Amino acid sequence: MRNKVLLLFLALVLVLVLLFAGCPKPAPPAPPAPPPPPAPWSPTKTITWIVHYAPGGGFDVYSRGIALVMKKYVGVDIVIKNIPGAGGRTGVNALYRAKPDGHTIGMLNVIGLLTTQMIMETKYDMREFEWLGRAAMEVYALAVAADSPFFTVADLQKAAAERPLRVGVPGVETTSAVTSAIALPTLNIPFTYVSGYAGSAEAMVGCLRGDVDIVAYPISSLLPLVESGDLRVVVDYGLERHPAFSPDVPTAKELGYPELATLGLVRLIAAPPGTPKDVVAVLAEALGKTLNDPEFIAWSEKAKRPMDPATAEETEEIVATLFTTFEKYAEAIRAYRE
Amino acid sequence: MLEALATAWGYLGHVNVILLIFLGCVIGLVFGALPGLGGVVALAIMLPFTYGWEPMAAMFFFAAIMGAVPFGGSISAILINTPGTAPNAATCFDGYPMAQRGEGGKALGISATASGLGAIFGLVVLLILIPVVRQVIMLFGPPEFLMLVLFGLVTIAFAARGNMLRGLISGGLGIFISLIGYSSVFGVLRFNFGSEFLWDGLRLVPFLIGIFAISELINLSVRGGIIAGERMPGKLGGVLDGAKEVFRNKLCFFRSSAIGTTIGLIPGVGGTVANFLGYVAAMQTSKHRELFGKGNPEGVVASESSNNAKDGGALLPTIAFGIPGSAEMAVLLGAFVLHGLVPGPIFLRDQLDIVFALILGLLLSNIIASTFGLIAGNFLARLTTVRVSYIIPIVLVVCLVGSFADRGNLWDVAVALVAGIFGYALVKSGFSTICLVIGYILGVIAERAFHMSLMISYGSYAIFFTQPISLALFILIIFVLLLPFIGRARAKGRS
Repeated sequence: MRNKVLLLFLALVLVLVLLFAGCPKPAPPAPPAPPPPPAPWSPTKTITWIVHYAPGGGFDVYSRGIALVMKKYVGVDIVIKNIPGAGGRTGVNALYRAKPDGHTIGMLNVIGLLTTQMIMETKYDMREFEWLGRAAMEVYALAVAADSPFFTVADLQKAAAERPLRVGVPGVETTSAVTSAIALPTLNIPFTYVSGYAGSAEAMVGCLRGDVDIVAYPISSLLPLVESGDLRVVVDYGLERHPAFSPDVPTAKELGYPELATLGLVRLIAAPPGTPKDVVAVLAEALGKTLNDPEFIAWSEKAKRPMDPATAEETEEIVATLFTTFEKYAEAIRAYRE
Repeated sequence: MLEALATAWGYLGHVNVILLIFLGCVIGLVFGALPGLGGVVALAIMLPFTYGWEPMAAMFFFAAIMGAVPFGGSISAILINTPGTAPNAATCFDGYPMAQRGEGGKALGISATASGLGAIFGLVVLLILIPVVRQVIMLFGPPEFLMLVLFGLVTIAFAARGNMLRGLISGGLGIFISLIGYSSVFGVLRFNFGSEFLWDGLRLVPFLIGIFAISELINLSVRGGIIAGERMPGKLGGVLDGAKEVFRNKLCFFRSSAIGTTIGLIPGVGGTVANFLGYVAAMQTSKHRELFGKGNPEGVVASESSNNAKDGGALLPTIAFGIPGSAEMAVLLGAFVLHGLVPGPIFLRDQLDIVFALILGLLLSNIIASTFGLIAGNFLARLTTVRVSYIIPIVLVVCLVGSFADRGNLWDVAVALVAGIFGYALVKSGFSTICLVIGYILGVIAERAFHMSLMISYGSYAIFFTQPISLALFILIIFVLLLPFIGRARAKGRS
């Protein structure tokens, strides 16, 4: 008799496993949709939003924040699907091959994927995605430990002339590494990588320990440690000065290198290649409304996740520009990977 | 600081917070026990539901989930040799043999007690270290890290109980397997035979499920009968006996918890390493070294206390720097941001009440889970008396689905199956899976730490000996390696 109870228990376990692992993430049924927008297409089932990194990271957080509010404007649930792997390529491939019926979209780390496409053969082509818009763009900045002797770019150049400065990066193919491969030679700072950190935060701690001399990351990633006084920003790659930085910090433009402003982390949202124009239009409009929605803006300010919305057309141009820019640097990037 | 504690404590007066903690605990137990799921998946699924909740309530909930996962994972590790989560892997080494002897209940009792007490240890250390958190985290860098991992790797030579050559071969194989995939240190792909699937190497969870669970299922199907093969009637209960074992092995418990907490607070390392090093340290310094892997209660004490203690440690870099101390912490960070909290050094100053909510949530959830374990342990242990012809199909399905659930890739299921067959063949030929798994878990990590250290030092090997902690650990390794010889020399001297 007892064994039967156990078997029932086991069967229950089995059912639980199948429920949790096999089914899409549970979500309550969508509330009755508001009056449909004046467009011929609207989604008929849950939209899947692909994030090509693991949960918890920047792309994941941004995506979840947007998806939660965007539900209002598309009338159906949006479910985040994390597909990490191969530095993001597994997820991108998944989006590239997804059915272009408007029920799958994703947020892409364009710079990292784009440079990879230039250097090696990939199964995707960034130019073929249908762009819905830009969520954010963050310029990079170069930082050193607050107790290091470097205060200006000139200091860095002088020290690097004696021996190359160490740049901490998670991997030689990451956006941070690529940015440094382009920016540091432009600034005349010989360098060498210390790569293998688990993530940007670990690399920053490495900088605080003195294991590496420089880190280069988007400003919002650096900000907590800058505000606490642990890191000092030496140069901001952007075109305008950032309000949180001290007045001593110049922009790259002021130093004579405006082209470094294109080195930013762009978070773009896309639909698979082949998605019909009217479907793209509906999704792009919903995204645009979300990014300008007051509830969403309030969240992004509280979470200190800055937004730079751009429309679908603007995003297409952005991608095209990025391609031309990075083509110039492809050789340099390839060389530094050796 | 006390004010923040009072604020967090005040929340416990609300019924819905208590209910949330219970719910989180249950979710943690279930997701922990089901192999391939675990804390990360549980948190990721629950994350969207908490949108709009009060941040404090959400934090109690998340902490409750995280707290119960390690014990939940130990249930399947002990009863069916399937690590519920990767940090439960070392529990299989001694927990399952105990179950095979009919001592499943006792093993569960050990696990419940060691898990609960280990978590408390980790949290106490966390509280003590909060004022000096930044200095503590900065103590550990690649050279120190290499020494820690090296300590684990040298155990390979000892872990094979009398057959050092086979142990070394298994260990070497494990290290080789760990090197498959893309190396972020060098920027090259290794041993992937042109396939993009192997870009990230063999995934930890499917591989462990295969090596432990599936190979054992093959063994059981050949052998038949029940899991508790040499069952002694009436001795199936024993949960309280197990609880007493933890107190009998106080030194082992404290050492493993300390190791777990320490490794937990090193960012970027992960719970599996914490768990293994705790186990391995216990094995190195035990008086009954040869019993490890055969059902030595010390092994379960070591493994389960370290994998719970690590959660307390892992919170430290998470709240101090916004650096996840483990994979669950990474999702927790995402949860912070979703609720408008900004992790980082300011967090400790301004949001101490959230920190206490997390601590209290972890504490209570562990207590609830351990109590459940002590109450239900004997009942759960009856699983080991069910005929394997019923168990094998159900567990096999659970394992295969768990391998798939890791990242939704069907090839991972293939990895699990192949690893299962490989593991079975290994054991049948007299090789040690312990050595294989140690090499697999620590191999590529050691390599990365080594090369990063050299990059930092511009190629000089002196870095390992000029940093004080690194040097101290190195001396410790040499000492432990020489221990058996010193013992033998002393014994000869006396006779």
